[in-house]
Amino acid sequence: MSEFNAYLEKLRAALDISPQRADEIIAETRTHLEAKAAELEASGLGRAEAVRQAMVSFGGVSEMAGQFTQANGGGRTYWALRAALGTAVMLTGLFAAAAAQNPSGALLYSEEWLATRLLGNPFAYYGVTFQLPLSLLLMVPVAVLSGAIAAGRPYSLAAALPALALGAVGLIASSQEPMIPLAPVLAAVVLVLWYLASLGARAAGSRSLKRRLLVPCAVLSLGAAIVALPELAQRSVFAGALGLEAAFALMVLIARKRRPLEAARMARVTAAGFGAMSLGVLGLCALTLATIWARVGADSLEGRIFLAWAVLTTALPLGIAAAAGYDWAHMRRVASA
Amino acid sequence: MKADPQLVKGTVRLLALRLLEREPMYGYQMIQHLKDRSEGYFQLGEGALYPLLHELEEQGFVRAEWREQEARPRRRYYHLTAKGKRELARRRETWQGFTKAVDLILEASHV
Repeated sequence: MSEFNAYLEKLRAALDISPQRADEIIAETRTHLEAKAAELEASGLGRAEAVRQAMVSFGGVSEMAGQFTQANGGGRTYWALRAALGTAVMLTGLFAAAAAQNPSGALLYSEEWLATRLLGNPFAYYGVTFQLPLSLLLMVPVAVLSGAIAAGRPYSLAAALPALALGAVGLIASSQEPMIPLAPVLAAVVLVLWYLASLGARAAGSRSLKRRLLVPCAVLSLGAAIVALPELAQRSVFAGALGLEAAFALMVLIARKRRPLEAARMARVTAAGFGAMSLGVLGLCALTLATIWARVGADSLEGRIFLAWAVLTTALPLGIAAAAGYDWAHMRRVASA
Repeated sequence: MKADPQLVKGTVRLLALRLLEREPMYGYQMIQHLKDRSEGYFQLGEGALYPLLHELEEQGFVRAEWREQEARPRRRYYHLTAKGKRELARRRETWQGFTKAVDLILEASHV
């Protein structure tokens, strides 16, 4: 019946689960509301009042959407998580490709070493240290963390930990030249394994399996992240931003059950803050790319590798900002429903 | 007598599993059964039951199927699974242990 359409459409928009599952919930809710309204009508209420009371007794849209989303295991994989996976795969491939072409015997050189060799210190001109692409890895866990917390899903939060390790170890590696990127590659592998395992677990309909698989991933990642803490502390800007986002995320986590609306609003701030950070880094990346292009061009093999690296890492924050925007838009729907 | 919401919240999972042990039911039917059989004591909010049923389904304790109804909208019926039966037995035992312990305290001549 059309009286329930607006309510059900709002509910559908606020659900953060697969479209098929959302369809089932909407159909079941519609059936229930119709039966309830008919019963109220039979007890002597007018149709309009019966419809209103049926919706009121069912519950508010945002509250119900939160409960259904939680009851259905969280649902959709967040775009930030996909961005993290894509980054991990991309970096692994890039490391492998560069290692295969490197004739010097070292497994891989960091881009900072390459830049210094090619350009001296190109960023002395700007008064900043060239540490951009690998530092960008830190943005990945921040994105995933924000998205996961915004969604209020502990298992997504656990998924952020491998990415956190990836970023942290990437930062350590960026300070050692030439570097052997074993740790970030391992972290990337952990992330990919987690993703595949979670897909399998979801297909099997098992949340407990997913949890069991996540525990070793989380332990490994936490260990790597703790090892990386001193290095993180030196990158004060990124560490500060990460801390701020983490603080927001923690507040959302604490508030999400008892005060879902406030938590959703806070999550929007977290996602928006991360999006702003990503866009800022994107601008810095574009500056890097322009400088490299102007000074080196793409004549040498190392130059080509470096340029490919710079292009890919320039695209990364844009993707993550888009992911944060997606998360933000979803939370906005929930909060306004 | 009006039900204590906290007590109801703690027992609704057990009650839902128990209802489904007897026969497959749809959500609204469960709400009405709970109300009728408890002589109006358990007036469960719809908003509480449906997410719970979905959670039980996600955990494998119940499974759901759509059934067509003659001249009426189709309904989603929930069945108790074997895993759900084990969960019910476990929760029933826990509940009985809890009520027995509470009774021992309440009925003692000296506390």
